[in-house]
Amino acid sequence: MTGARRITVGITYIALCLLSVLFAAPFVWMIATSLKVDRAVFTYPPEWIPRKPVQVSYAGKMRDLYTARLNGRTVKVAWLHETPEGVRAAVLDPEMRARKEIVVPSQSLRQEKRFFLRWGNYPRAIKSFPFLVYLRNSLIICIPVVLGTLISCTLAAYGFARLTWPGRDALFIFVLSTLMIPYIVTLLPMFLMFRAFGWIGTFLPLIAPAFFGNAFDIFLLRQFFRTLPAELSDAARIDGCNELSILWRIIVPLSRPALATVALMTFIWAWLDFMGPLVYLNDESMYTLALGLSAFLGRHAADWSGLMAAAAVVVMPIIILFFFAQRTFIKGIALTGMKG
Amino acid sequence: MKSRRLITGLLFVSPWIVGFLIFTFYPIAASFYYSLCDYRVLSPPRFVGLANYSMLARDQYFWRSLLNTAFMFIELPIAVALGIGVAMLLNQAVKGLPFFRTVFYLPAIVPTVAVSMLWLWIFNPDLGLANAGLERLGLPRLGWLVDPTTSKPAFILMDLWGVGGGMIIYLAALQGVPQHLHEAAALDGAGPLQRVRHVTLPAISPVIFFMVVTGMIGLFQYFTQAWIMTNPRGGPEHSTLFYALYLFQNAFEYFKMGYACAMGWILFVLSLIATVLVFRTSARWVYYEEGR
Amino acid sequence: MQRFVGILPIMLGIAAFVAMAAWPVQLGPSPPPGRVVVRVWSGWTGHEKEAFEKAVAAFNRSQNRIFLVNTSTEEDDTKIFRAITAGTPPDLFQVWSGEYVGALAANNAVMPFDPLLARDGPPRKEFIQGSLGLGEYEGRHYSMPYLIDAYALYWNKDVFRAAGFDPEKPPRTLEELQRMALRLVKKRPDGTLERIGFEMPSLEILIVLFGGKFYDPVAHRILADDPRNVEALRWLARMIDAQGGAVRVDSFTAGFGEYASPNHQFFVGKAAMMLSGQWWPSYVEKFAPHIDYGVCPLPYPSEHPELEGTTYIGGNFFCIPKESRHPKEAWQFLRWTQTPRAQELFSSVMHGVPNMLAVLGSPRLTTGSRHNRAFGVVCRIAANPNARWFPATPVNNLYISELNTAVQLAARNKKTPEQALHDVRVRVQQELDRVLMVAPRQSAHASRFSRLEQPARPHDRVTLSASEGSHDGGILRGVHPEPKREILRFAQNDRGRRAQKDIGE
Repeated sequence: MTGARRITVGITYIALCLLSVLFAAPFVWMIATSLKVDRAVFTYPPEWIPRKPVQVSYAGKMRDLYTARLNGRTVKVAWLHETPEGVRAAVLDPEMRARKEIVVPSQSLRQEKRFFLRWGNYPRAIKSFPFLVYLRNSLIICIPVVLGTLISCTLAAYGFARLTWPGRDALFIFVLSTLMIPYIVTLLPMFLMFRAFGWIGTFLPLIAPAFFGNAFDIFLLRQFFRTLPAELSDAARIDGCNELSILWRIIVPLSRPALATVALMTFIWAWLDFMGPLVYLNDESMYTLALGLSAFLGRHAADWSGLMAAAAVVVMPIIILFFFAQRTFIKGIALTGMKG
Repeated sequence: MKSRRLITGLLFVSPWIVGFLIFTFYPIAASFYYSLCDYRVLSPPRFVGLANYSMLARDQYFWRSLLNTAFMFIELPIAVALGIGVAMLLNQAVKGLPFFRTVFYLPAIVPTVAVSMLWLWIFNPDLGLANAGLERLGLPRLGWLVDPTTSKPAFILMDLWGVGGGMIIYLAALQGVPQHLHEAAALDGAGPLQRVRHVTLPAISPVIFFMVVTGMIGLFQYFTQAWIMTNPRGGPEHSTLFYALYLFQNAFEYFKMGYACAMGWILFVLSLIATVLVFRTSARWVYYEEGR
Repeated sequence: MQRFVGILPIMLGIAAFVAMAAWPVQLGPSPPPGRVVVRVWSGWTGHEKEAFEKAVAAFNRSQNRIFLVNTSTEEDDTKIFRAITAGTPPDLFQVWSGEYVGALAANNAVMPFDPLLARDGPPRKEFIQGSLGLGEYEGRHYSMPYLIDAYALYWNKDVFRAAGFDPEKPPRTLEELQRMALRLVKKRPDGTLERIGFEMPSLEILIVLFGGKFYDPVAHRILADDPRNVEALRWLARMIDAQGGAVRVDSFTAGFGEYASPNHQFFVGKAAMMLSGQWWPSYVEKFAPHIDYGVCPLPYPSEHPELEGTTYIGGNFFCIPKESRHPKEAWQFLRWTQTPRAQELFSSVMHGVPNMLAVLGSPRLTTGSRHNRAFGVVCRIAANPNARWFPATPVNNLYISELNTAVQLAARNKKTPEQALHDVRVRVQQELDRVLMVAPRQSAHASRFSRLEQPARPHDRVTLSASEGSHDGGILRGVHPEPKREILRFAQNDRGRRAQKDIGE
């Protein structure tokens, strides 16, 4: 490697690592919290490593263990309670027996904690809702939605991107304009409409619309298709291909990154969609994982660590999918576009 | 000949057209009708003409929410620049690329609820990371979500963290830039920055265009985070009462569905105008390879 | 052969998918044959849902005509409204946010209970006053709670000791409270709060403590700027100011993360006194059993000693929709909930105050553990005839939202309390007038439900007998107001997804 290249790579690495820390931090915190004991969840300064307070038994109750500096020495004390003068604590000897009680200012105490991963949060989180049932329901919805979206949006995007016909651009703006109506406003009429179809309480309102395209993905794919040179299509047309086979044989293979992106984004959106299932499903045996997750956090006694464990479980499939699918939709740097 | 192309074009778009007629037309038309009605949700709608619209014009919260939402548009150019920058960074041939990419994409898939809780904690004026960081740098602590002057910037900061979601779109776009263009430019003596400016950016301009338009439409409807994270709703002195938030309140808390639909249609018109403007200017900066 | 091998995984995938989709799944018990299936929707989730379903199961065991099935709405009331609008509501439902009861009643979406209560309900005097008053609109009762909430004053005895106060002497009047709170406030050198003396409650509670009014149901007037209300807001603003000012107090309160967690400021000695409901002792036992605390009736203003013993009542609200297919059976369940056994059962797991006076002193609920004794104190408080609640009006959501705004403005000195409350009154009254002008139509819905009686129109003057609840307006709140707010937030998550779709936002 040349010197200049080395510097570029070095800077890139540093930038990547710094940004990674920034971007990964909340996720790391989420996982760390999922392994914490309840008391350790919100602490200041924030803790990244799951730890739990060490406790000792004194006068019939479990007390938190602290260290304090006393007469120049470091001693272990058990926290008893606060008084106007400071904290009353029991000094302990090396065998953890109480020697005497003292009062010290709270700032001079440091809490003893030890590393502890509360794996039990996970089974507890999973057991708190019918995990396998919800998983099944999520899959029943997500897989058809991804397939339907890919097929319908590819067709429509091709029509808007690679063909010319009168009224095309005006219709495209019209398609886009459907994105501009806030969904809150169409929520109620849409519900009434599905009720007229008799679809409330089934998966249909969540799956069927996906097979008819949506403006967002049509727009995205249209933009991608337009980055491919016109000569490709022209050459194929001269050879006598019809539009469908141009789409299937030429455009689609060249658009793998775009299509994989649409597939991934659609899957993630459907997997995490909580609103749709809540609106259209009435039978709990049909609820999805995302809905189960929200039920988890709907407790008054917010089980923080459990919530993060449940969230981690719900999110894991996506991470795995993304990690392994990268090769599919992000090709190597060397093979882009086409030669010549 | 022309009619044949018309038919072919429509045929490809037909799934969407059918879907629109079945699933989208009625709800949209109904919402327009409701905007002309006094509709209390639990009782049938009653036609009142443009009364909702004139009431909105006199509603101080309506104007306030419009301004609040307009403020958030500052985020758009920053988010686009950041997204492209991050994607370019990840388009290099460095070791461990899949790992980095996964990490950068994480914010987009952590469930909103966990993200919101996290940011509530980060922005916490007494215990949070944000103020801890400021203190470390010797800067004064801020009120963040609790202070009307910093509440909207706090939301902007939070959104920028989520820029990874757009990153994969930019990445896919960067993948499509033909290598030979880079090579040709390099041969002509163009340095890396010039290549970015004259080759990469124009090549991915259609995708940038997409992100700008959808980003704009999304910003008009900005709602979820503000809903989850502000209490009382609307933030301190209504500084984070965004348009869609106020719309939601009217629809489902105050049972003024007609009023909310009127708000929705005003939003629609504004979005449409903004989008058409961007489309008009696009001819100058968006470059389509197929030359149309 | 090649093609066959290529297709095989796809075929297997499809087969697996179809098998999975067709797998029959049923959660929960199936109804035994011969019973009427009654569907109830309730907002509870998690532990509370389990608690409610225990009650449901007990009801199902207690008789053999009806089988009650519960579905959780995940605290989303809009699910119920949609179902009502679509004409397919359940047979019985619980409204999660009590603010909606007035609107439901005003639109004739739910049935009034009065004839049923008169026919075979327990006599009114057996109920705690607020429990029926909460669901009262235009002289009729539209909702029944299973249990109710009542508020009390809690103080941290350890903090009192540390500050030199007698831990057994909580403040009795608001003036005492103010004095003690200001001495219990601890600030850091940079002015930020380290400990707050008195955690600020919402304005509605204070209005009740000052003997203020909310609504005149006879004249349909919003009374937001009643002089006592102004006094209450002024006191609140002064307290916020004296404890550090609005921004500092808000920052401090925002500081402790979750309401229901071991880190709540009360549990870590950072709040000396606070108002909360009867669920608080159970939170203490769950999150911070080591703290020493006390519970006592709410303080009263010393110039109005007749207000001593006032408390603030809320509840959970069961309503029968107009389109219920089995209203009589739904009422059976509600009737069952108002029996001592059902009350004790639910109260012991839900930590709600029983509705019925007879159960309030139940030894099972109020003796034995520290929690029970504290709970017993709150139960006694709830029985006080001075108990008040927020009355049901069709515009409660707006009203409460505006009151919050008034607090913000007054606390930050943007408006005087009089001005702030005056503006609240004007705006809410305007809205109320608009709502009432449009009398609920005798729609097709109504005719199907003359099973019980014709719905009351809001302008009918209904004469009230002496035994009806008080009409100076009380306070109405959904279950657990503070956690509800937090949870409502979460319940709305991901709603933006469909529109926003990861556009980098």
